[in-house]
Order: sequence, then structure tokens, then C-alpha cells
Amino acid sequence: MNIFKTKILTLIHQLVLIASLVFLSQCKDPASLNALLISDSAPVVSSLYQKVLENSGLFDVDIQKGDSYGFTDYDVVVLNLEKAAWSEEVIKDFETYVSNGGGLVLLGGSVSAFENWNGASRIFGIETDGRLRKSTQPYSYLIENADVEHPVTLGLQKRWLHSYDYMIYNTGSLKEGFEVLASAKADTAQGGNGMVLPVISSGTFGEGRIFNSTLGFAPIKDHVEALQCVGFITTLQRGAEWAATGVVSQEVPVDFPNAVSTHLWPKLKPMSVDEILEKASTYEIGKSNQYLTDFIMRVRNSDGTPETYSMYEDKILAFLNSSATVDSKKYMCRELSWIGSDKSIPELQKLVNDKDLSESANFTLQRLRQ
Amino acid sequence: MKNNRRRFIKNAAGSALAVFAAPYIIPGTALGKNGAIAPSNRIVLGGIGLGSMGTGNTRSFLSKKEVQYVSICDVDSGRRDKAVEMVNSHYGNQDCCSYADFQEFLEKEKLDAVTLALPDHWHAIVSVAAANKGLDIYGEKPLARSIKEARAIANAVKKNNVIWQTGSWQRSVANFHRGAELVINGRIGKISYVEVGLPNGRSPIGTPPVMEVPKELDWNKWLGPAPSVPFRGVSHWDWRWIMDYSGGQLTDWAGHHIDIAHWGLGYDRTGPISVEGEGVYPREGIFDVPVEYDFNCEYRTGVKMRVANSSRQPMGMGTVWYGDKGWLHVNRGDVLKASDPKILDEIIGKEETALYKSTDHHQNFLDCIKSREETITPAEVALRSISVGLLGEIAMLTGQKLMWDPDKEEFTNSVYANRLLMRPYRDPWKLDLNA
Repeated sequence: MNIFKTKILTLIHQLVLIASLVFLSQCKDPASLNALLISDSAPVVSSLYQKVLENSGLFDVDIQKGDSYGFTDYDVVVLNLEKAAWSEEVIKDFETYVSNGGGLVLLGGSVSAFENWNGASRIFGIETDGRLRKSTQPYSYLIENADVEHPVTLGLQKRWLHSYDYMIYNTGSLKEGFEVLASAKADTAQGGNGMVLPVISSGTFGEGRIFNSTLGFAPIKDHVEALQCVGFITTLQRGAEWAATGVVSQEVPVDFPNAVSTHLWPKLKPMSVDEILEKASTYEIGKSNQYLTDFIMRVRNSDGTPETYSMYEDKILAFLNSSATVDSKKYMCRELSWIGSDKSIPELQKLVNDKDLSESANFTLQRLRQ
Repeated sequence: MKNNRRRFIKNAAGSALAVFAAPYIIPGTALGKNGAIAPSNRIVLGGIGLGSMGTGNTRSFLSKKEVQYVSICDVDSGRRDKAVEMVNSHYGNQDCCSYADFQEFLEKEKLDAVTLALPDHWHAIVSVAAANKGLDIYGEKPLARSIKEARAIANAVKKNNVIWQTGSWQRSVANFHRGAELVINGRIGKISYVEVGLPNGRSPIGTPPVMEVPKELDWNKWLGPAPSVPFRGVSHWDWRWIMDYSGGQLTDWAGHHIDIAHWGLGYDRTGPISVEGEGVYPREGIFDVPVEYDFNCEYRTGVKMRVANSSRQPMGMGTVWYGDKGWLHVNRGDVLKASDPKILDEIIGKEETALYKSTDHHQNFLDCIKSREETITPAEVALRSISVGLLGEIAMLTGQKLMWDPDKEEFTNSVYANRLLMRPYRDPWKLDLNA
């Protein structure tokens, strides 16, 4: 019954999306939204946020430099700030920008970055005393989506593990017009108060949409895992699109993290099947099998047509003929056993006399010859 | 037939004498004094698989005065020693025989019946072998690791005309019986929907390294028909979380709450016609069964059933039937609830459907050995219960909506899914699927 409900909602969202895209196509190309990133991280880290946004294929991202902001040139402004002091003039321009419909994305602890701006919480949607509170160290924590029907969270895993990151403790209450999209427990072992706190929230100020994600705080040099987290990347890309346009056109990646597994995109974008197989080719039993399961997830989440399985079958047959490890080839034989076709049989027969792969080849042949 | 099949205690005592070559003194209780049953009338029992379930079953059967428990078999010498000690201390003798190899056990022991409590990947081979020996069998649920293996067991039981009891003991508990009987007699009206809530999945333990096999354990024999893999610290109990051996909580518990759902629906001898769903799988590590699972089945009657881990179900654990006059929920802990409590006071008339009544699952097996009647959970019924779990597993693994023919027991829309109805065996293990 829930699946049915989700499908109806998906349909409604798709209709809204189509209508919006038709509207947008008349006024603006959705593939070229303009974003302004205002970041006080090291330039190398700021460029990673820029890359994440650009990898969605939706945004051209400028990184703000100097004292000139020019908010109105942008569809969305992304703040990634620990400490900031804006002039009254900039604050006024910013308030006008948001209230007139400009999109705003807040990252990390940006809500508490402004010491001399008392009205900031009206826009950001959350009360703060200006102090940044965070876990004692970065760690992997479980996030639960509170609203699973918001355009940003629709279709995502409801419970998912965020990779190695600080948890930012937003303890203030949300303003009217704002809602929690996802929350996590502030673990007392990590300096938290044991309460369930919002980690992603959204709302509106005037005509403007605000998306606030506390994720992705940790990427100081050695901690880029937080930025590579597929959950961080996906929610930021979807949240920024929603803030800019009010809809989300992006598909949910098949390897979005789940309740028990984190997932990373080392290059901040989805890996190709060939990249996955290359990583998988070094697997040895007793070591990480994540790239092998990545491959399996691709097969499982495919359209399931004979053509698609045939494509994956070809990839596996090439893999079995490559210099990949014995253990990784054994794994692939298992997958081949249910998606393979007659064309695999002669290839497997060649392996029947291979001392390392004989058993796996026989396993696969047993299934294919049923 | 039934008398011919009954072995006598003296046979077992004889074999024990041969093994131990020691003076054999039959205690008074074995001679039928003090209300005990004379050995010649006792059911001679042995057990294969003496882990937690096997030990529990053995303890229960030892308490039955009509049973003479004579031998055990396990691939772990530590478990063998403990089981032998338990049996011997019960009888106050040293007669319990012990085997590491089930084939030798079945060959040498002269038994009436055997209890099986093995990892799921071993169920079919041992069950079929025991049935082919003409033994009556108490087999732990789920019936088998795959639907074709389950069919092989049910066929072997039928062909050999042996008694089979599945460890789906909830059928012998009053609240489940009462709930199912109210439902099948229409007390909540015509059923349109059923929810089955099973335990949430076990969290993964990550990626343990290869390690030395404990000296008590015959690892190769433990793996048996499953693919050969090095030992990584997971065998007893935690095999449940690896797909080579089990389907996780889903297939473990299918033989309980799905079994009860079918009972109330009167679907003991049929299955769904479609299945579709999704699972949440670990992406890393040795455990690979779903930690969350959620699928929907539809039956020919139009009845729909949703099976999911309990935190996804509105009523949590157990079975909930929804009819046009209300709902009824059963679960462990004597849970028997209905949309209107008056439903629970309804009397089932003599002309109405009376479900099979048992108040002691182990005793029901023993009674049926004697009467040659069908048990409360025969193999065919167990096959239909586990099939739903296994169909859900295949739907989740393929990511497809699958159409199922419950008569032919095959998918009608996926050659790929049909391949997953069996699990390939490692040499030299074979199973005659067409027995």
C-alpha cells in the first residue's frame, strides 16, 4: 500500500516537474542554472563543493571573490561559512535577493557563522546563538529522512549512513515555514546530547526557498570522505536544484547509501561500470568487496531486459579473461550464473579445467544448463 | 507397514554394546516399571545437527517417555561431545552413539525417526537421504534453501511414505490456532489483505579476515554443497546472515508468520501468482542477506500479502489478516487481537472448519509416527510457507515483478528468475530434484 502511495506521489511530482520544465523552458534553460558559492574553506576544498554542484550537470558555479556579491545574477547562492561578517549593505541586498525568490543553500555550520547579523535566523529558519557546536570528531552516522515526500528526499533510502563527517548540532528550533527533511541522533559518545537533531531542513523566506544541510563539514584535507559520500552529494545537488527552481529533475542514484552501508564516489560523480569493474578486479577474500557489490547493484537495478543482461554478461566474460584476481572472478561467476546466456557456456567450459576457477565455472554451468 | 518399520530398543542397545563392548545394564525405567513405556514400544530417535535448535529439540524429545534417543551426528566434535553427554546423563548410561558423518549415521543406526537441525543449505540433501532410508523426520524450518530443494524433500517424503513434521511450532500454540480458525471461518469477513511482519535484519559485521578453522570443526563438511570458501570466523548460528547458507530473517521466519498467514487463508497447498519488492542489502562485508525487506504477493483469489521486516509494518511482528468485517492480529507472546474484541469471543460451530489441533508440537510428531496420520505441519505445507519467502528473495535479487505459477512452481515471465529456484551444488554433492 505504501509502494502504491509512493507511486502516486511520484506521478504527481513528475507531472509537476513536466509542467515546471515546460514553464522553465520558456524562460530559462534548466541545464544552466547559475550558482554563487561563498565559502571560507581553503580554496582546494571550496573547489570540491563547486565540483559537486557542477557534476549535477545543472549548475554553472562561480566562487565569490572580493567584496562584490551580485546576488541577483544567480538562481541560487550557496553559503559554506564558519565565520562571516557582512556589511549592512550586503545583508540588505541578500535579504532582498532571497525574499524576491532567490534560492539559498546553507552548508555545514553556516547558520551560526554570522556574529553581527541578528536577523539571519529569519532567513535561515533556525535559531542560533552564533556558536558552532559539533561532534568531537568526524564519524559515520545514521540519518533518517523525516519527510520522504519532499522533492529533495522523494525516492531516497529512508535511513542511510553518512560517511565520516562531523555532525553539526543544530539545537535551535525551526522557524515557522521550515521543516526537518532529515535528522540524526547526536551521539553522547561523540559529544552530543543524545537528542535527535535536524541535519537537513528546508523552508521559505518571502518568495525564496532555503535548503540547509549540515553535511559535508569535515573535508579539511584528510577528510574528503564526507564530500565523497553519495548521500551528501545527492542531497546537495537535489537541494540546490530545489532551492533554485522549486522542483527536482535528477534521478536517485542506485548506489545511494543505505541503513547499513556508506557509499562514496571518489571522483564526486557516479562511477562507470568499467570503473567499478577495474576497482573490483583486485578483490581478495577477506578484503573489501564493495566494488563487487556495486556491480551487482547495477545489475539488480537495471531494467532487466535481455539486452541489458547481455551487455553485463559481455562485461563479465571480458572480466573472466582479464588479469583480475581469482577471488574477484569467482564472485563474477556467481553473478553470471543467473544473467548469462548460451554464449557464456563455451567460455565457462574453458575454465572447468582451471584449478582455481573450476568449481565456480561448474556452479555457473549448473545454473545455465538447467 | 507400521509395525514392520518399528525398530526395537534391543537393536539400538546391541549396536551400543558393539561400540562400547562394556557391560550393558538396562535400567528399571527402560523395562517399563513406574509407568514408563517398555523399550519395545519406544520410538528410537537420533539427531543430526546439535546446535541450539538441535539441542533444544533433543532436550524436548528426551523428556518424552515414549522416546529412546540413541545417537547424534554433528560436524563439530565439541557439539557432539556435549550432545552425547546430555543424552547419556538423561538415561544414566553411556549408550548414545556419536557420528561426524551423516551418511555413516544413516547407514549404521537402526532408527525409527530422526530430528534435523542443520544450516539451511544442508536441509535438502540430509532430508532426502533420511526419507529414502524410510525414517520419519522432524525437520527444522525453513524447509529448504531453495524452492526446488523444498520440492525434492516433499517428493521424497511422499514417495517413501514417511511422516514429516516441520519445526513451525506456532501451529501448536493456542493463540495462533484460534486466530487462524476465526479467520478461516469468516469472522472478519472476506479477506483482501494480509500483513506479515518478521524480524528486522541483523546488522553486518564488516569484513573479517581469513582465519584458522577451530580444531573441533570439519569446515569442508560444514560447507558441504555450498561453495568452498576459507573460514572467516562465521559458521554456527551466524550462517543465517550469508546467502550461501540462508536467506536471513526473512527465510528463517517465513516458516512461522507466513505459515500462519496461509493457515488462516486456507492456502496450505498453493502459493502466490505474483511477487514484487525491494530489499536493503549490505554493500560491504561477509554478511549479504537483506537487512530490510519488503515485498508484495498476490494470490489467484485477489488476496494480497505484504511481507516486510517488522519496523516497516504498521502492526510490527506477526500476522494480520484484513477482512471486510475487520482485522485480526496474532503474534508470539499470546497476542490475539481484533478490530472488535467481540470477534475473539465467537464460537466456532461444529459444522464449521476445525483446524488441525495440537498443543505440543513434538508430541504431535510422535503421535503421528504411531498413527501414521499427517502431522500439523507436513512437508507440502512447509514448502508453501517457505516458497513465499524464497519468492520474495528472488524478486528482490532480480529487482523485477515476477509472475509465478503455483501449480508448476515456476516463473512465467523470467528465465533469469527461474535459475534462482535452485542453488548449484559443489562436487561431490548431488540432489535428485525429480525424486
